[in-house]
Amino acid sequence: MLATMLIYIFGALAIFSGLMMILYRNPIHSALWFGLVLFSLAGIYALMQAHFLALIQILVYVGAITVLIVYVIALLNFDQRDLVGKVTILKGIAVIVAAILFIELLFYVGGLYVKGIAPPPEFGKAANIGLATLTRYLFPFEVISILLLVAVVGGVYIAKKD
Amino acid sequence: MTWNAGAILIYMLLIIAMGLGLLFGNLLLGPRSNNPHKADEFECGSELKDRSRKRFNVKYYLVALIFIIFDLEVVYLYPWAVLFRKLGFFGIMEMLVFLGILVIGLAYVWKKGALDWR
Repeated sequence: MLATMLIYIFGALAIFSGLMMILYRNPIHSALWFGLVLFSLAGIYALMQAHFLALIQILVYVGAITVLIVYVIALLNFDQRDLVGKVTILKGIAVIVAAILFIELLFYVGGLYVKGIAPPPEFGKAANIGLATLTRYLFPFEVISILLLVAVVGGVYIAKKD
Repeated sequence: MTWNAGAILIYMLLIIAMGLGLLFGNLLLGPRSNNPHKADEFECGSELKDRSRKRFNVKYYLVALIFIIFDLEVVYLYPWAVLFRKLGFFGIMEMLVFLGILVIGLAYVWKKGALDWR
């Protein structure tokens, strides 16, 4: 009962902060609201008994990814007045892509809602994630390291060109 | 839901309550002055030469990027450590391959001098 209530509260918080993220003009504020979105997702994970996932969500997403986004904003440092009011082709494409993604998500989530899928009871435990990544999904797991390698080499190459 | 598992949740709620409490406590108890000069930029009393909003050096971003990459690497070590005994030698080899590929990245970063603050 309490758990269900808290899931609704965290869900509402996620939606609210997601909306705030879009509606705020200052990109730094948006980044902070985005951090709150990720935090509320961590709350939902914790309520689903996925404690490892919840902690990693806070450690990696709230801690690291949000910081990276803030750095990107500080790096670009565009004048936010430039962003307002101009309709460009890029913005049009962005709207179309976002709309397609949203419709896709609606279908997917709607399907789940009809079927009523619950996560397996051992969902999100450290041992289970380890068992999945180290046995069944071993190849994708090893490919992750190549993905990370590409990311770090690419980032350093671009930033250290001189 | 069992409440022994809800400890982390209680912790999260406590943190939210504490953060909000400090903010609103400040709002209630703190003195307020709405002088327009309060928002002025102030630099030791001397004249301002420039705006404070500037582009950050890409070095900060680079440090954050490298941190995230190796942070993500460590995340995968946790579940592996939990299963260390169960997986045995096979597990060690798996993780050695994973870490080996990432060590190449570390060597590249090191060689490129991205770890030095220059």
